[in-house]
Amino acid sequence: MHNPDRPVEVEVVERVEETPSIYTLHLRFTDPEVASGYRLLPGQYNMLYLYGVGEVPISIVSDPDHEGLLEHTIRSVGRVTEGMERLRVGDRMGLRGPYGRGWPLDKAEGRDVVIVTGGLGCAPVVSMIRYVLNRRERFGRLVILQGVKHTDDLIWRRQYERWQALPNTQVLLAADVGGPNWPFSVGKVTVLFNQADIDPDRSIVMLCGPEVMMKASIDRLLALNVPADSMWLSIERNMQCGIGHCGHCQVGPHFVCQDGPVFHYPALRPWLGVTGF
Amino acid sequence: MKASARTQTTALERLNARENARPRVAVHKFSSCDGCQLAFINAGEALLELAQLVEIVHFAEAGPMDPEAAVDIAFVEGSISTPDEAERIQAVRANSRFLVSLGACATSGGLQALRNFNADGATGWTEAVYAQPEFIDSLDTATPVAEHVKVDLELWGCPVNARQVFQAVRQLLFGVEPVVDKDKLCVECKRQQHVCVLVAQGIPCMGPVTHTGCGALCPAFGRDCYACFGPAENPNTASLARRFDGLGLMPESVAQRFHFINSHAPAFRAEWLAWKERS
Amino acid sequence: MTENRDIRIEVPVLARVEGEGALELSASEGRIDTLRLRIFEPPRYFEKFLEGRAPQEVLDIVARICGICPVAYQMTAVQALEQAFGVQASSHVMHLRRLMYCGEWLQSHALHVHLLALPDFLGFDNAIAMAGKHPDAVRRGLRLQRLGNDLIRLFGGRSVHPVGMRMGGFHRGPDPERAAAVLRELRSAMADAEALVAFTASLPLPDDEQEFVSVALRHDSEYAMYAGRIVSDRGLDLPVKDYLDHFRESHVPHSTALYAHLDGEPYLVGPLARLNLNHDRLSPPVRSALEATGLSLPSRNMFHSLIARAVEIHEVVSEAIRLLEAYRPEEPAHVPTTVQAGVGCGATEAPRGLLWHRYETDAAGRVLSARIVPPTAQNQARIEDDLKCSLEAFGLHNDDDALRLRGETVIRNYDPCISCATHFLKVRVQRR
Ligand SMILES: Cc1cc2nc3c(=O)[nH]c(=O)nc-3n(C[C@H](O)[C@H](O)[C@H](O)COP(=O)(O)OP(=O)(O)OC[C@H]3O[C@@H](n4cnc5c(N)ncnc54)[C@H](O)[C@@H]3O)c2cc1C
Ligand code: SF4
Ligand code: SF4
Ligand code: SF4
Repeated sequence: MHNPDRPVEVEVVERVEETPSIYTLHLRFTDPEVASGYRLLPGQYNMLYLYGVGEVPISIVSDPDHEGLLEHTIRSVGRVTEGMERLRVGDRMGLRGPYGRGWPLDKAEGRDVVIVTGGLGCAPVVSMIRYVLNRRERFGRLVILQGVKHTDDLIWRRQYERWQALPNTQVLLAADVGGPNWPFSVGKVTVLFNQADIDPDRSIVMLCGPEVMMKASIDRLLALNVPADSMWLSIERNMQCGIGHCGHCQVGPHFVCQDGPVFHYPALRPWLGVTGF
Repeated sequence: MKASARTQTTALERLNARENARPRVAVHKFSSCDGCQLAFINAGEALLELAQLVEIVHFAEAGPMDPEAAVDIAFVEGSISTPDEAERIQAVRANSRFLVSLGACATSGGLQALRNFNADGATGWTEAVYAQPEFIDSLDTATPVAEHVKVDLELWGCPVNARQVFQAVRQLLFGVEPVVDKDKLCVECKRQQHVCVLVAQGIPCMGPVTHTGCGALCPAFGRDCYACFGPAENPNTASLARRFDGLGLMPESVAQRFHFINSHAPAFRAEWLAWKERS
Repeated sequence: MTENRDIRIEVPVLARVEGEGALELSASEGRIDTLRLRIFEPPRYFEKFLEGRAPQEVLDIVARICGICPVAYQMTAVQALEQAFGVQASSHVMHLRRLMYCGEWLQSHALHVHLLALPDFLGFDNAIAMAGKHPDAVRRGLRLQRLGNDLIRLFGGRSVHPVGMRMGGFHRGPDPERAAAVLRELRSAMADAEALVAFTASLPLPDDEQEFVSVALRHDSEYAMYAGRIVSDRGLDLPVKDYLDHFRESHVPHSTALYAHLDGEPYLVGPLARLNLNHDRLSPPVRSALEATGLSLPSRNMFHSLIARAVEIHEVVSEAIRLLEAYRPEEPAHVPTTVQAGVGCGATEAPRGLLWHRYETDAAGRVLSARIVPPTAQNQARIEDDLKCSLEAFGLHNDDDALRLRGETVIRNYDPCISCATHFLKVRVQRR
C-alpha cells in the first residue's frame, strides 16, 4: 500500500508554459512500486516539496486512470512556486499525498454536472471535467461556467473551445474586462447564469474559486431553485502540514487539508465569507 | 541578521542574473577550526552530487584551489583576526555575488572573539603563548565577517550542519530568498518532547535565548544548551540571566554563560558586561 | 638547466591539508642548504581563554581547537581534569570512551586516505576530480567516514563538537536501538576495511627510507588510544605526567606553529609511529590482514603512513564491533565527580598522533593554567627533516612542478591539521 505521509520522489517528464506565470508539470514517480500503488480522486491535492525550499499544496489535474503520471498546474505567487518555476524536464522533487477529500463522484453519477469556477480556481475542477468527459455515459449534461478577470488570464482556451464543441456540453466564459479577441461574455461569472441551461432537480453543482465569487454564485443558484444539498465547493487555505496537525487551514471546526478541500455546501455555510475566525 | 532584506534581494538578483546555469561556488577559510567546512565534506554522497549541481572552484580542504576566482556563491568560514585576513575578505567580497557566512566564527566572531575586550589585549596573550611575539601578526580582535564586508546570508552554529548549508545552496539554486528559522531553541526542544533541564532540574540552559537549528542536541542528552547557535531573534537575555541568578549561580558564572562561543554577538555581549559588573 | 639562476616559484599548493603554509628552500649543487616550512596559523589563544573556565566549559572549548579531531581534544582534557580531581572513571566509561574514539579515528582516517591522500597516488588534483574515474574508492571512503561520524553521534549528537562528554563519563550513554543500527553497519563495513588494507599496500608508493624516532602511547593489552605510557623506539618509557622532562616546545621565528623536540631531536607521532611501536597489540584479524600485505615493521618509509591509516581503520572497525557487542546501557553513564585544586596531565592518541594536555585547577575546579601540545606541533620538525631528505632523494634536477608535487605529497603524509592554520603553501625554491 502506498502511504501518503511518506515523501517520495518524482521526476519532471514534461513542462508546459501556460502563461508567463503559470506552468504545468507532468510528474512521474521515480519508484515504479510507488507509481503502481498510488490512487487519487478528482479534487484531491499533493504536497509538492522543492528540495531545501519548501512544500506547497497543489491540486491534481490528471485523471485517476492515468497511471503513474501526475499533472499539476501551478501559478507562481511566492517563494516555493517561483522556485518550482525553474524546474526542467529531468529535475526531481519530493511529493506526499494524495490528500484531502475530492468531489462526490458517487453522488454525481447519473446527474447533470454543473461546474462553476472563477479565476485560477480552475485546477481542482479541471480534474473533474476530465473525469466526466472520460466517462461520458455515466453522467448527464455537463455545464461549465468559467469567469476570469482579464481575457488573457484564461489558460487552456483551446481546451475550453474543444469542450464547447462536444455534444451534451455547454461551456460559458466571462471576463470582467473584455477585449478585441474575446467573443465571450463580459462581466462577472454570475452573468452567465442567464444563459446557462440548468435543471435544478437533475444537477449537482461543483464550485471552485475566490470565496466572494462562490458566495455570489450560490445565491444565484439558490434563486434558480437548486437545492443547497446539491452544491459542493472546493476551498483553499494556507496550509503547512496537510495532515490536520498544524491548524493553519482551519475553517471553523473543519480542517481544509483533511475534511476538504471539497466540502458539502451545507456543512460550510455558517463559515463561508465570515472573516476573522 | 545584519544584512537587511533589501540588500539580500539585491545580492539575490545579482545571483539570479548569472549567465551560467551551473553556478560557481567557493568555500573560504579564515580563523576557524575547520569544523564548519566539514558540513560539506561529511555530507558524503551529497557532496559529490553538489559537485555536479555547482562548480566548486575553490575549496582548499576538499582540493580545488582558486582563491581569487569570481564566484556566484562564496561561503566564508572563520572570523577576521589578522591584518592579512582583513585584506583577504575584501577580495572575497569583491569576487562574489552572494556571500554566506558559515558558522559562529564568521557570523559572530566565534570562540576566538573571547580575545576581544580582554584586559591584556591580544598582545598580552601573544606574549604569554609565544616565545617570540614579534613574529606573530595578529589583530587585537577577532570579528565577524559582517563587520568588514556586506554579508548576504548568515548561517549560525558552531558548527553549522549539512541541513543548513544544503538548504541554503538549494534555495539559491532555485533563485529564491533563503529563509532562516528564527525560533528559539526551546520550541524545537518541545517539539522533540525532551524533558526541560531548566525546569525539571534547575540546570542553567541557554535554550530560551538561543537560535534554533541544531535540533536541540544538548537537551536530548539531558544537559544544558550552551548557545553554540548564537542569540535568537529578540532574546530576553536579562530575564534568563535573572533566572540563572535565582538558581544560585554566582554573577561571574552568569556572565560566563554569555561570554562563550558567541561572546561578540551584541545581545550576549551586553548581558555579559552587565553581569561582569556585578561580580 | 637553471644552475646559475635564482628560481622562485610561488604557487598555492597545500590544498587538502587544513591550514596555511609555505615552503621555502634554497639549494646548491643538488643539495638543500636551508628549508623552512612556514606555517601561518592565525593564533586563537585557546590556552588563555581556558583560564577561569569550569570543567564542562573546558570540554566544550577544547573541541573547537580542531573540527577534524574534536573528540581527541575532549578525551585528553577529560583525562587530565579527572586526574587533577582524583576521579577514577569506571571500566564501563572507559569502554565507551574507547568506542567513541574509534569513531573519530575512523572518520578522520577515512577522510584522509580517500579524500586527501589517494588523489596523490592515483594522479588526481583532488577527490572530486578522482570520483569520476574511481567512484568505488571514493564511495568506500565516504561510507567509512560516515560510519565513523555515526559512531561519534551516538555519544554526542553530532560528529563535529559533539555535546555528550562530561566529567566522569557521558551525559547519556548511546541509545541501544541506534547503537544496534551502527553495529549492523559496522559489521557490513568489515569487508571494506579489510580490502582497504590490501588496496593501500598495492599502491605504487615511493620507496624512501629515512631515519627517524617514533613516539606513541603504549598500553599493556590494547592498541593504545585513550591510555598508556609514552614510549619511543629508542627506549624512552615515561608516565604521561613526565612528558615535559623530555619533550620541549619552542617557537621559531618563521612560523606561528610551535615545534616540539624529544631531547633536542625531531621525532614522529601518528599512525606510522603507532604501528611501528604497537603492531603486536593489533587484534588477530587485523594482524593477519597486515601480514598478508608483506609490509615489514618497523617501517622507515614515511609513505607507509597511508597503509598504517588503513590498518588502523581496520582495527577500529573491528574494535568498535567488539565494544558495541558488549555494550549494555548503564544509568547514569558517568561516575560521581568532585572538584578540587590540583594538577592533572592527560595524553591520548589523536588520529594524527600523541596529544598532551596539562591543567592546573583551583578549589572550585576552575582552570588556573592550561598547556596543550598537539600532534602537529610535534611533527613539525620531523616534516622539515623529511622534506629535506625526500626532495634530495627525489632529485633537485626535477622541474619545479615535480618538486612541488613531491613536497606536497610528503607533507600530506603527516595529515598536518594546520587548523591548528590557513590556506596556501607557497613554494619558494632558490637554486644557486
Ligand atoms: C488544497 C489546495 C490546492 C491548491 N492547488 C493549487 C494549484 O493547483 N495550483 C496553484 O498554483 N496553487 C494551488 N494552491 C495554492 C498554492 O498552494 C499556493 O499558491 C502556494 O502555497 C504559495 O506558496 P509560495 O511559497 O509560492 O508563496 P508564498 O511566498 O507562501 O506566498 C505568496 C502569496 O501567496 C499567498 N498564499 C500562500 N499560501 C496560499 C494558499 N494556500 N492559497 C492561496 N494563497 C496563498 C500568500 O499569502 C502570499 O500572498 C492550492 C492550495 C490549496 C490549499
Ligand atoms: S563556528 Fe565553530 S565549528 Fe565553525 S569553524 Fe568556527 S569554531 Fe569551528
Ligand atoms: S531544556 Fe533548554 S532548550 Fe529545552 S525547553 Fe528547557 S530551557 Fe528550552
Ligand atoms: S543545544 Fe545549544 S549548545 Fe547544544 S548544539 Fe544546540 S545550540 Fe549548540
